[in-house]
Amino acid sequence: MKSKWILIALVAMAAMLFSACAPAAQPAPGEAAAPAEAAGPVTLDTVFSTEPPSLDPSLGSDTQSVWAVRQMFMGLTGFNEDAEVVPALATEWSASEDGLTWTYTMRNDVHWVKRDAATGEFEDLGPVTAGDVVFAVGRTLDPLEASPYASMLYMIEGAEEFNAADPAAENFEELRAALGVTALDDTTVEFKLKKPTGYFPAITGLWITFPQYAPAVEEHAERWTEPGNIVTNGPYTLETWQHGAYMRYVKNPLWIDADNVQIEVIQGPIIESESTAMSMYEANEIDMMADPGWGPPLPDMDRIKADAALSEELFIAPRTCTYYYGFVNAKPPFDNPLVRKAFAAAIDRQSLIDNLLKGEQVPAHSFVSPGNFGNAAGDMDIAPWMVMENYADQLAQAREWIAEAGYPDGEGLNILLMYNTSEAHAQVAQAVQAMWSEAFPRATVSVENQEWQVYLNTLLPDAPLEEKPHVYRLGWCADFPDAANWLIGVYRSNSDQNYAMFNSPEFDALVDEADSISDPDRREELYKQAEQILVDEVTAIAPIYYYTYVRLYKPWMTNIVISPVTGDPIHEWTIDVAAKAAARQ
Amino acid sequence: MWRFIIRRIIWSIPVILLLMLTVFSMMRALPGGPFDFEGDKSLAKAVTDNLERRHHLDWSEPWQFVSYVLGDDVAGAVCESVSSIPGCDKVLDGYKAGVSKGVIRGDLGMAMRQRGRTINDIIGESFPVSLQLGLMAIAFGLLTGVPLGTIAALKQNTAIDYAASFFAVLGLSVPSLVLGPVLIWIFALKLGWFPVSTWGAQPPFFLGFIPTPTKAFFMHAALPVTALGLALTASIARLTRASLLQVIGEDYIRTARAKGLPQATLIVRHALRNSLIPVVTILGPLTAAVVTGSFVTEFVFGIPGMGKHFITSINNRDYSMISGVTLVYALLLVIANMIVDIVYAWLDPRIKFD
Amino acid sequence: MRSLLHHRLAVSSIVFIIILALIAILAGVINPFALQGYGDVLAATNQAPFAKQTLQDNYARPMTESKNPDLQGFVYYAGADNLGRDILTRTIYGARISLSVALVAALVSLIIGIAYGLTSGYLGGRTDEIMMRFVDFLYGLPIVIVVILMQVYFKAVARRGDASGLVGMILGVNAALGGMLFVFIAIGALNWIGMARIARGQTLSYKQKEFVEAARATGSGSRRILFSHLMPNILGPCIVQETLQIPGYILLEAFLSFIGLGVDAPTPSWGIMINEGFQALRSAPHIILVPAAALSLTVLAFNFLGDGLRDAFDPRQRGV
Repeated sequence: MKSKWILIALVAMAAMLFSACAPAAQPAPGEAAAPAEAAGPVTLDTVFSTEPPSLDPSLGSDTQSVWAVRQMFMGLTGFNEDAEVVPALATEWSASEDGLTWTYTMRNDVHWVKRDAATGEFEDLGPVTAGDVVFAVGRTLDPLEASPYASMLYMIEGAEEFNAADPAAENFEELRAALGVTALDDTTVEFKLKKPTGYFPAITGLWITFPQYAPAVEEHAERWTEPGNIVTNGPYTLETWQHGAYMRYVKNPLWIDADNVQIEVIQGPIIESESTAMSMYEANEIDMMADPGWGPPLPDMDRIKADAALSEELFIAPRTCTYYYGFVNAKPPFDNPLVRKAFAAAIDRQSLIDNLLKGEQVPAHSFVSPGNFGNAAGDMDIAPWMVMENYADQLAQAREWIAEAGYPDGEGLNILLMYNTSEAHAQVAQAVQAMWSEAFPRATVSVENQEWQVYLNTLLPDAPLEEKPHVYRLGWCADFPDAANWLIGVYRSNSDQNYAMFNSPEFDALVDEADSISDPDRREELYKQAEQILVDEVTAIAPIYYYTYVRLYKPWMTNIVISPVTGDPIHEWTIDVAAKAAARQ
Repeated sequence: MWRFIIRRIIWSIPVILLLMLTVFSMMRALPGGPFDFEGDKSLAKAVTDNLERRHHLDWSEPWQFVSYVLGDDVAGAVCESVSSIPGCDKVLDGYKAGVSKGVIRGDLGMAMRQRGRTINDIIGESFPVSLQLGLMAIAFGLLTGVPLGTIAALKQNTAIDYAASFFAVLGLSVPSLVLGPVLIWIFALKLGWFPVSTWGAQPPFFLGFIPTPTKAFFMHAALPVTALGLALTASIARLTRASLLQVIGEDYIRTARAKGLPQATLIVRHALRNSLIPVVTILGPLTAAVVTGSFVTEFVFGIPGMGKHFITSINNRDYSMISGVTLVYALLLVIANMIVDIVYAWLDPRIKFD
Repeated sequence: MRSLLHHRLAVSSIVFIIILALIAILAGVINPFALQGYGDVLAATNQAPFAKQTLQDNYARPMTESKNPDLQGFVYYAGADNLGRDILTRTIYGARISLSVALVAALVSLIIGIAYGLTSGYLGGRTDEIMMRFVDFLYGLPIVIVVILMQVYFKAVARRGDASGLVGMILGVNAALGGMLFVFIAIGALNWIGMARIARGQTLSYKQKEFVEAARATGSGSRRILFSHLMPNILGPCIVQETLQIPGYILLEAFLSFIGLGVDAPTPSWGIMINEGFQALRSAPHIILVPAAALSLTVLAFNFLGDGLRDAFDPRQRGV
């Protein structure tokens, strides 16, 4: 009968529903592989925002890879919380009179270790030597390795020639031998530079110079970073890597400072969705919303700030990155500096930060963000008109300038703003588009977005001018905390990344001079002058804000130390194990 | 029927080849390559050239395709014997260092974005997970959709029918992008019945794709399968209803009813079989799509399936990866369509294979 | 036609769709800004109602007042989104894009799909084989690549402004359609294959029936069999299935706009609003509610209309 059928169908559906709703058990801590013992090792549970393309120090270039390398390896120097260069493997270093030769003295008590995948035992493979540093630098510069960051080491003698050489050429091995890095003995490394580089100790803090254990690399080739093969010298090593799914790092018991390392395991799944990570955090499945995972999603910021518990867990700190809108200086009407200044002034930065970004970012009026040596962010002589107290004043100034430039109220202007496909950038772009439309009512401001690689190709300096937008969005984060990385790397007229097509011989002269001297005060002075030109005089770009780290940490994370560059020193952190276990009941 | 299968396989081979070739060329027509940029930094030209040479991207496109399908040694052998073919000079330079054995021999190449990993590795890890998720979602869709549609059809134009239609349409309109987080919010956060994310099983699997049926596995699978399956439920329910209504009005059903056949037997054995044809039709390609990885569901629930590789490989311009996943998808499509056509004949004896 | 009118639900659906279309067309007059008397404020700053933003009003709850001194007293009936734009206004304007996408894409897909599937199923044999293999090929193509290629080529050319000949014509049509041409092409052209398969399946099933044989025996040509006999029978499930695709089209349009091929910001469509709003689901559900409700109701309407059309086309119910 009909009713029988309905009954059967209902029962079937109900059975499915009930089988799915098993009796309320505690949610598994996110991964079947991880042992969830009550009194197990002290564990930091996190998510990883994406699969790292490589854990090889020579090849790492993205946040994930660099974070991992900084947990597992030590380099000659490091950075402390205040972005100062501090000793790591090297106990001291000095430069010669002419600044061309740098000599580092290393400690001899840091050892290479390898974890046996089967037994979990750590094997001591001997001390880290200067030869390991030479090997690593040579490997990073080897064209066959194709390291994306090799160009950061081009101040070393012979580096550029070797990196650009043809491996089939006859003099290839000669070029490798001619590299300006040598091991004078087991604990002394000598670098020969092409020109005096005041910030060279920061360069030896970059992960691409970290020493590597040659036998492991030679034996396993491209698989040497897999668990069981990898040989490390840092506080942690890789225990498990289920590609695309899960990673687990364990403490190195043979590390020099192992006795003071409380956190024994760092583990978690790879989760690519911000909001899912947030849900996991709220379900107490992870201990933090921070690198190597995600920060709290923007739409949740209001809710977090309003919530009694979550607002306590919110952690905001400066980050060495700047978000900016660049002008294509060669493309009319933005070849007129007055137009550029007008548009730069018409952005209400504080409103964007308060109402859209909500991360207590800082309105930017210079390119190099705070936290980098030589930054001018605190110097209000530089482009103060971008960050006035009262936006109405900025607006008035902007309208004055645009009228002076010959476009009263924006009459006759047809502007294209472009950004790379992303929800976040879309929001900012629409907000700024509306700001510009209200500031210059007779102008037409359109917005377009392009997929990332298409976008970069459109912006390349030698791409056709007609296809470029007038304004483009970009951000820059410091590879190492020095203004050189910003000003020379991006805006020197011959830089590949000079998408603004900014060309100022004075600017070039200033940064070139700063690049070739060691005196820090003089360098600071030069960088300031350079920024004055870039941002205030010529206004090649419109900086919008300096990033902040916006993070959430559970209350049982009792000691958090953050690094100004990617890779917090987790070995210095502590967890209140009892509190964490109690919260997860 | 076997002749049908063989014929279908033979016909599918040129289709798959054509598909691979099209994807091959389209990807290379996109601006930007796998090694042009790292983050926002352009790589030094020397570095880019090196990497491209390693993956034979400096060869002309037809030769790249030959090496991809047949292997480096074959390409090299051809050029050794007839070196006047255009493009052979580059091939002769580089083929000895190449390691590709070609798709013919089951080698899908090296990943371009992730160093040191082969496409076979990556697909081998992620595909079984997508397969599990997909098959379970389809089962969910069928087991809920067919009864729902049947009830709606039998109770046509009553409140039950409208309610069923309403829920079906709701299931379709709510994109899985929204449904996923909502399910997580209600069932994982508020009620705490299920874990928020990840998949409860990892390789190796029995027979390549069957996981150990532990409770943890089903707990992890519940929400994603529901999220993915509900959209299928809606589609299947509506199709079943429409089709069943059509079939019920037919003469042979009236005859059977006149002969005194009980309603249940009538519906199940006679009406439902024929009315399932549209359902089976969409199930074919739907299976292939769902099984090769529903990108959104895997993204939201942090499931290490194959879905994300479709998107990320295009963004990264990882040519070998997109070729590899497209190949898997194409193979599945062919198999699924073949099964669909066979099931047609079983469902409706009047359909003959021409 | 008469049988269609007898179907109450179908009639209400038609009425609903017509009202929706009217709302979309008259958006300039019936949006909350105009209704509350702020039309001239907007005109002064040359801003479209759906683009008017007030950052301080971000995530405003429904029925709150604006904090913008220029908009003193303005009430956000359905709340504001994260940029402080009125949701009701954007939903009204969004109807333009979403409705046109739904209608055009559904029609295109239906027409091409049924024609293709009918032919393939009816002819059978090798022709059927080839036609279906081509469909397999199209299925396997990753649409994202096609979309990016289209965007790269056409948009770059548009920006250059020197388009001539065929490309120029295409861009001209695109401009006339408000930038929607590529969306229509992408969605319609890429979605007919599902319909083709269903049509083919139905055709296969009906092809063997007696009435077809009878028609052939009485000397009806193939075309007559196709149009008068087979098509009416398969139209039913096809139309119903097509209406089920509509939410997919609307969301696909959102995806295309997100990737840069569809409409440019700040032009709204329901799909775009849903995409933007879903992230704020827990904190500000009102952002997604109105466009999602509009979408669901519209889809329901199309669905019931489809049911009605199916009943109307069903040859057995005709002339009763």
